Amino acid sequence: MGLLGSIRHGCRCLATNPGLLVLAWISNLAVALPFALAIGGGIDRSVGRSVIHEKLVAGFDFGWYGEYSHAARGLEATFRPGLSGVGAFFDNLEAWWTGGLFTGLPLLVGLGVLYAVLWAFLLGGALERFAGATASFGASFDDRPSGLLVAGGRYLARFLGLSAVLAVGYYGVYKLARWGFGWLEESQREQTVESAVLFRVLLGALVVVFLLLALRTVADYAKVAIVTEGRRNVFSALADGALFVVRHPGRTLGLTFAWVLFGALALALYAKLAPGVGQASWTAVVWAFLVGQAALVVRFALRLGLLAGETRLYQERS
Amino acid sequence: MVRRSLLLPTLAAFACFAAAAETPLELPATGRADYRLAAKLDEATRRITGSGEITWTNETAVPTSELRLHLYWNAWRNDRSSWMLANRSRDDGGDEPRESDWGWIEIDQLRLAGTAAELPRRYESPDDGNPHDRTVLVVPLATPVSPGTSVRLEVAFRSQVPRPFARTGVRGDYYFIAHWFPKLGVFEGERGWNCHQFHAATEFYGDYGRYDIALTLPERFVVGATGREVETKPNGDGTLTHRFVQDDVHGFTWTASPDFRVATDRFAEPPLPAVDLRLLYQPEHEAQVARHFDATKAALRTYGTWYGPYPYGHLTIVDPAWESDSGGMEYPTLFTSGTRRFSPFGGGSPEGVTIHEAGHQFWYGLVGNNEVEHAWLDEGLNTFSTERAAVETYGPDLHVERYLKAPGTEWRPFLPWLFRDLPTDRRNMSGMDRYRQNAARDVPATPTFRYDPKTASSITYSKTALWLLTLERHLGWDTLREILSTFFARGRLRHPEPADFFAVANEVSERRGSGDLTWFFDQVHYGSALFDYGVDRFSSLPAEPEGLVDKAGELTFTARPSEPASFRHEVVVRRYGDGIFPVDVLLVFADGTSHRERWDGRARWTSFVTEGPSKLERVVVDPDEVLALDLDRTNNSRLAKPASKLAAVKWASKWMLWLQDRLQAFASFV
Repeated sequence: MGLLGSIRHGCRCLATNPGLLVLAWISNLAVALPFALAIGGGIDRSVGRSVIHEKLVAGFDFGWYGEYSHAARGLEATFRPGLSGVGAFFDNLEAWWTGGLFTGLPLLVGLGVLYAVLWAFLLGGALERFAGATASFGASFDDRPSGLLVAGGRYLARFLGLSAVLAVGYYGVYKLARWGFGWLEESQREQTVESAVLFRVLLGALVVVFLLLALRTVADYAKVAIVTEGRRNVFSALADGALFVVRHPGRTLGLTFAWVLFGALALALYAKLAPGVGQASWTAVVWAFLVGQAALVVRFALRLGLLAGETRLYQERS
Repeated sequence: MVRRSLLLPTLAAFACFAAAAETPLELPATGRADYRLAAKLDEATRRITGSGEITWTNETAVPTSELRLHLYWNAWRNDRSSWMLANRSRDDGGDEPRESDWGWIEIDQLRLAGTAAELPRRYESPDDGNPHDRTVLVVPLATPVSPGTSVRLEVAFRSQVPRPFARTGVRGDYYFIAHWFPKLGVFEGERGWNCHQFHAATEFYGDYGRYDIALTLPERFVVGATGREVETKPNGDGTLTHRFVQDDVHGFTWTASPDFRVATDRFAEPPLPAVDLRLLYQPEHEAQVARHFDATKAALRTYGTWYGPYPYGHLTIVDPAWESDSGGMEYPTLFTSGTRRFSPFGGGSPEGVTIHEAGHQFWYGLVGNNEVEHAWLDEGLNTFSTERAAVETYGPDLHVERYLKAPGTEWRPFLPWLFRDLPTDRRNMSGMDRYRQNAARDVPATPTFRYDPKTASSITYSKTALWLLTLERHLGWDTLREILSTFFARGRLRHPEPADFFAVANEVSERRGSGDLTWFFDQVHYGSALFDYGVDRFSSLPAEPEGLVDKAGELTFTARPSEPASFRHEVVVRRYGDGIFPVDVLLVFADGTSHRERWDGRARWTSFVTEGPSKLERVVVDPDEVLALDLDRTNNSRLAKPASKLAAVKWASKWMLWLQDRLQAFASFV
C-alpha cells in the first residue's frame, strides 16, 4: 500500500470508528472543563455586578483585563484575549515547537503530563482497534467498548515506558534547538536585515519541527510494534519503530507530513472561519463554542487517522 | 535671550499662537551654545576623530568661572559608570558587553581659541559621587565668563563608537551616532551649572544654538543628520564630507549606512508651514514608506494645529536597522521610527512610534525642558499627544500577537497576527497597565534621574499621559489644548520647568472658569495619590412606610405594597484610594430614566437618597470615565442583578479551547 492508500485507510478507520473520536473528544473536554469552570468563575467574580460585562459580551475590555490580570494568579493568569479564535492554536503550536510547553505554569505542565498519560491509555485501545481492522483476516481483537479500555490498560505501562525513553530524545531536540538558535544569534550579531534572520529562523524552526515529528513518527511505529507484535520491551519496540522508519523513510515520513499538511489546511480554514469575540447572546456563544470544538475534533481525527494509516503501513511492510 | 531668528517669520503667520506667547514665562535665562565641528569616521576602528570650535555665550546675569561638559559616551567605558550600574539594576539579563562593544570619548585638546595652553580639567560626579563615572568634565577658567559675553573653545576629541547602548552605536555597517561630542551643560545663573551625569533612565538637556558640522565618511554611506545638508565635498580618497547646518536646536545627531534607501515627501497643509520630509529606510521596509510619511504628516498636522507650527522646514525620519537598538528616539529635526519586516496596518506600528518621535520635535525639540530632572514634561505631554493624534488619525490600535520566537535568543518573535476585533482604547494605549503596576513607585516631583530606573517610564510616560487625559475630560479638550498651546508658545526655544506648566494651566483654567488646579497637581505631581472610586451598595425600597404607621393619631399596621407607587433609592459610593477627584454618580432606573448626582469626592464615602416611580437598576460612578487615573474601574458600577454569566461563559469557553488544544499538544509526546 502506498502513501495515498495509507491516508485512505486512515480516513476509513475514522469513519468506521466514530466512537474513538467521540471518546477522545469527551476525555479531553472532561479534563479541561473543571479548569474552564474555575476560569469562568474567576471572570465572573472579577466582573461581579459591574456593567463591564456589557463590553465583555459585545467584544472585549482591555481596561478590565488590565485589572483582572494585575490580580490574577496561577491558572487565571494564563487567560488573555490573544487566545481567542485561531490565537489558541497558534499559541500552543508556538509552545510545542519551542519547548515552551514545559516552561510554563507548573500546574499546567502537571495537568498536561497527566493528560498525556490518559491519552497514552486511549491510544492503546485505539491502536488495537486499528490493528484489528487491518488484520481482520487473521488476528482477533476485542471490538467492544470495554475491549478498548482493556487494551488501553494492557499497553499503558509500555507506552509510558516508551514515552519516558523518548523524553530524552525530545529533551535533546529542544536542547539542540536552543543551542542552534543561540549559535545563530551569535553569528548574526552584526546582521541588520530582519528578513535574512527570519529566513534562517524559519529554516531552523522547520528543522526542529521535522525532528520532533520524526521522533513522534518513530514513537508511533514503536507503539504499533508493541500492539501488533506484542513487544514487551520498549527498547526493542523503539528499535523496531526506528528501523521501520529508516527502511521506509518516504512512506513513513511522507504519511506524517501529509497529515501535518491536512492539519495546516484545517488550521488555515479555522483561521478564516473562527468566530471573533463579538458573541452577544447565548446562541452566539454556543455557536462559537461548537465551531471551536469542531476544530478540535478535526485535530483528534487527524491524529487518529495518522495512527490508523501508520498501523496499516507497518503491518503491510514489516 | 535665546535667538529666535528661525521662528520670527513663522510666528508672524500665526497670530493666534503669537498671542499666547505675549506673556513670557519667568524662565531663568541660560546660555547659547554654538558648535562648529569636523569629524571623520574610521570604519576599520569604528572611531570618530573630531575637532572644532565651541562657543558659549553666558546669557544669565551671573558670571561663571568654569565650564561643564557632558562626555556621554564615557557611560559605556566600563561597567562601573552610573549609567551601567543603573542599567544593570533595571534590566534582567542580557548580553555582557565584549571588548569591542565598549565606547568612550577622550578629549585630546581643549583650549581657549587663540591660545596654546591646555585648559585644566577634571571629572566630577555631581549626582552620586561615583569615582568611576567620567561623564561630566569640569573645566575651570582663569577668567570668568561675564554675563553677555562669550567664550570660544578649541577642542579635539576621539569617540569610540560602541555597540548600541541607549540607541547609540554601530551594528554591522549601520551607524547611529548621538551625543558623540563634548557637549556643554546648561548654566542656570544663580543655580549654577546643570550638568548631570549620564543616567540610564533619563535623557538630555542642552542649550539652543547653531550646529555647523562636517562629517567625513566613506562614499558608500548614505548619511542623515540634524539640519540641512548644505555641502557635499568629495575628498579624492574614497570619502565624502557632508556638511550639515542647523540653527536653534540643542543637539546634533547623525546616522550612516550603505543600506539606506532614500524617499522624500513634503508636508503641505496650509496654514501650517511646509516641511520637507526625508526618509532613510531599510530596503526590506519598502512597502512601509508611505506609512512612515503618513504618520509623520499626522503628527505635524495634529501637533501643529493643536500647539503651534513646526518651524524648521525639514525633518529626517530614520527607519533603523534591525536589532540596532536605535529605534524610537528623538533628536532635533531627526528622529528614528521603528518597524518590523511584517507589521500589519492597524497594529500601531510603525504609526505609533512615528507619531511619538515626530511629536518630540514639539515636546523636547522646540520646548526644551530638562529631561534629566523633569522628563515627564516632554515624554508625558508627548505620550498624551501621541495617543490623541493616533486615535484621531487611525482609530485605536488593534491587538497584535507575535509568533515564531527563536528559543534561546533575545530576538522578539517575528510573525504577527492582527486581532481585528480586539481594539484597545486610549487609556490602554497610554500605558494604564504599566501605571497600575508602579503607581506609587515614585513621586513625579522627584528629579527624574532619581526615579527607580526599573519603573521610571511608568511614571514619566504613563502617569503623566493619564492625568492629562483626566484633565482633558475634566476641563474639556478646548481648555486643555489652550493650556498646552500656551505653554508651548511661551516655552518655545526655552527650558520651562514644571512650575511653569502648572502656572499656565492654572491661568488658563481660571480664565475659562474651571478654577485653580493646584489641588490636582498636588496629588498627581507632588504626591503619589492613588485614585479609586466605586459603588459600595444601593437599594430600592418602597417609598411608603411599612409597619406601624401613625395615621390620624393611631398606630396602624401597613404592609409592604405588592406594587409600590414609588421607591426610595439609597446609593452609597466610596472613595477607596487616597486621591480625591470630583465625580458624577449616575443612577439608571428600570423604566429607562436616569438621574445624575455630583460628588466632590472628598469624604471616604457618601450616600444619595432619591425617590422615583421605578426601581433602581444600576449605579455608575464616573460614568463618562473622566478619571482616567482610576485604578479599578470594575468597581465603578453596580447592577441590581448580576449579569456577568454570559461574559464569563463566553470567555471561559474560549480559554477552554486553548486549554484543550494545549492538553493535546502535551499528548503529542506519547
